[in-house]
Amino acid sequence: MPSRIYVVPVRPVENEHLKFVQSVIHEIFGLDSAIKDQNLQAKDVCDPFRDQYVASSILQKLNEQPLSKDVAKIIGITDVDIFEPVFEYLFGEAQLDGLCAIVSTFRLHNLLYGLPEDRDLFFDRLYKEIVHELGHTFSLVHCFAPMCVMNPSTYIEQIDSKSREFCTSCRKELDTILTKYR
Amino acid sequence: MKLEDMSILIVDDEFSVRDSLRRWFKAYGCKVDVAEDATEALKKLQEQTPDIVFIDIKMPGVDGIDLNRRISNIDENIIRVIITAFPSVDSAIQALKEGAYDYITKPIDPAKLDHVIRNAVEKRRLIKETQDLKKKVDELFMPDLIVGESEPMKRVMGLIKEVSQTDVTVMIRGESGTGKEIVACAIHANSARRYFPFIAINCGAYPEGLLESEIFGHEKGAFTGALYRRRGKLELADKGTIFFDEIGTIGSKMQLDLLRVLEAKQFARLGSEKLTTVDFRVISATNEDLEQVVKEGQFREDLYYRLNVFVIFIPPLRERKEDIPLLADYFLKRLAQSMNKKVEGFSEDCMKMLTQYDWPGNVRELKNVIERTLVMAKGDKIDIADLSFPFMPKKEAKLPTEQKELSLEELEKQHIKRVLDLTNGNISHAAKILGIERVTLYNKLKKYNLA
Repeated sequence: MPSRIYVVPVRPVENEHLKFVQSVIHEIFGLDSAIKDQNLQAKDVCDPFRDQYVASSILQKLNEQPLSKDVAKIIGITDVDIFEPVFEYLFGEAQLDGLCAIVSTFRLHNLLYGLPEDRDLFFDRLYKEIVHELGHTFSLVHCFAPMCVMNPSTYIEQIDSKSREFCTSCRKELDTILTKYR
Repeated sequence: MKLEDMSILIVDDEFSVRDSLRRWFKAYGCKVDVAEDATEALKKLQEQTPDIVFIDIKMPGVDGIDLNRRISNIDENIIRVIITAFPSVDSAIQALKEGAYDYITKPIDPAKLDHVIRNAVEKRRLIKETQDLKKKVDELFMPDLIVGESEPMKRVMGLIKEVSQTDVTVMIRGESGTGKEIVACAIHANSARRYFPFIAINCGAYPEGLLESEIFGHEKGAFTGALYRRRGKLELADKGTIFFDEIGTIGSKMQLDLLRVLEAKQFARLGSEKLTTVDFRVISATNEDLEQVVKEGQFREDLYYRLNVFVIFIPPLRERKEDIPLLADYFLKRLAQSMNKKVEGFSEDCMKMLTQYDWPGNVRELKNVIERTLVMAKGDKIDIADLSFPFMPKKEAKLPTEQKELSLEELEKQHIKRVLDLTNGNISHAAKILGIERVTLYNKLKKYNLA
């Protein structure tokens, strides 16, 4: 029975980030998780002209991983800047009602915006992004309740202004879906 | 209307763009379709009407500029957003001039896309809301407002249709209660001015000084009690229709002022010298013999000719008796619904009685009688006994003129006989109409040998 979420590092990524993701999964989704290092390298999907990494190619690589029987979802974590050719950047991307999601920590650092680094804020943002992208893989779409974690975030302030929680309606929908995995 | 209710079509020759945007909008719960060129997009547009189309400007074959133009010709309410690379911003601006809603440059800043899409959704929502409101206004058409299948009413409806298409000044003539305001409203509702105000003013309801301020408005302090600046009915009717009811009652100064306004379409508020220009159509109504009033010098001849350009005469109800059952059923249905009563219709006798009556108060009286009756009605059919009907049909109620010297007893006998005929011999109903007990009626029948 698929009941475990696999956290896959897409190098480079700090191990501390991977462990944090595991704790988020347990707290929010109540599912088991495991770190599965498949030696995926972001440099394989690098666009040298933009010095960024193609998110959809990473998703494809995650999808191609040999599956364990208990895999419920796969979430890739990377510290590089991801994008899609049509977009300038992405915080993360997921397959809606699919298997995989990818989250980049690159744009979650305060330093990128000319501010002093704030570790707590960084992990708060990472928390929300992990929950948001995994939410998509569990077929949740964007929600317009301002505080819901499924509220779309296209710039960093939007991530900061929403909460870590699902709104009542998204939580209800998620709980129904999660019964299949527990 | 929200973003998740939107259907979106993405037209781009690059697979990665189509795929990324498709996934992006899918995450919002939108219905997304893609096309790789203009031909495929136009084919899809024949089968479906998306709310928003994203068009890449550079495509082989028909380019984005041309596709934007073609979509605009199919349905200009479809929101078109142009996707362009920096070097072709000029073309994007050209597309904007041709009605595209906005443009975004590749690579797209997700935050900018978010703004564009939110604004586009708002615009689409407003378009839909306007369309719905227009539809509601269109539903205010004659069929629901004016009921009648008699020849005189068909003529009236024909005249309304004809005159509605023009901006001609109309005068509606007819007895009180024939529905002059409803006809005025129908003219407005069928005209090109229908999305603008219809302002009615009953000239007979105001003393002259007040009427002046009501029509022209006033500045603060224009007269004692003018505490605030107030816009007049003429200003409120800008681009719409103003309806002067009981025009024959206005005084000579007001007649002169009105004449000036009708000719110049300009006026000044009381207490102001500043002229305001307004665009309105005038409909007036009267139940008076205006020609006679003009002859008597009470109404200016020049104003009379200015208002009396196109005349619609509404026949009194007694001259179109065939409309009475229709009107009665129409009012019964509408009023029963608003009072939440289950009444199906009128009994045959009842309808006969309604049809025979002369209705001096015309349609308004008929409506009031039905409304009163409905309040008291208990069964699912209105019967004569339910009819709170204060008058007898004219012919029946008239005393036979050749028998002027009847005794009281003879008069009573004839009256009881008439009521019995009317109720087809139903003692209970007859007693109710006569306002006496059944036993008393029996005694009287016995006495006059009418049984």
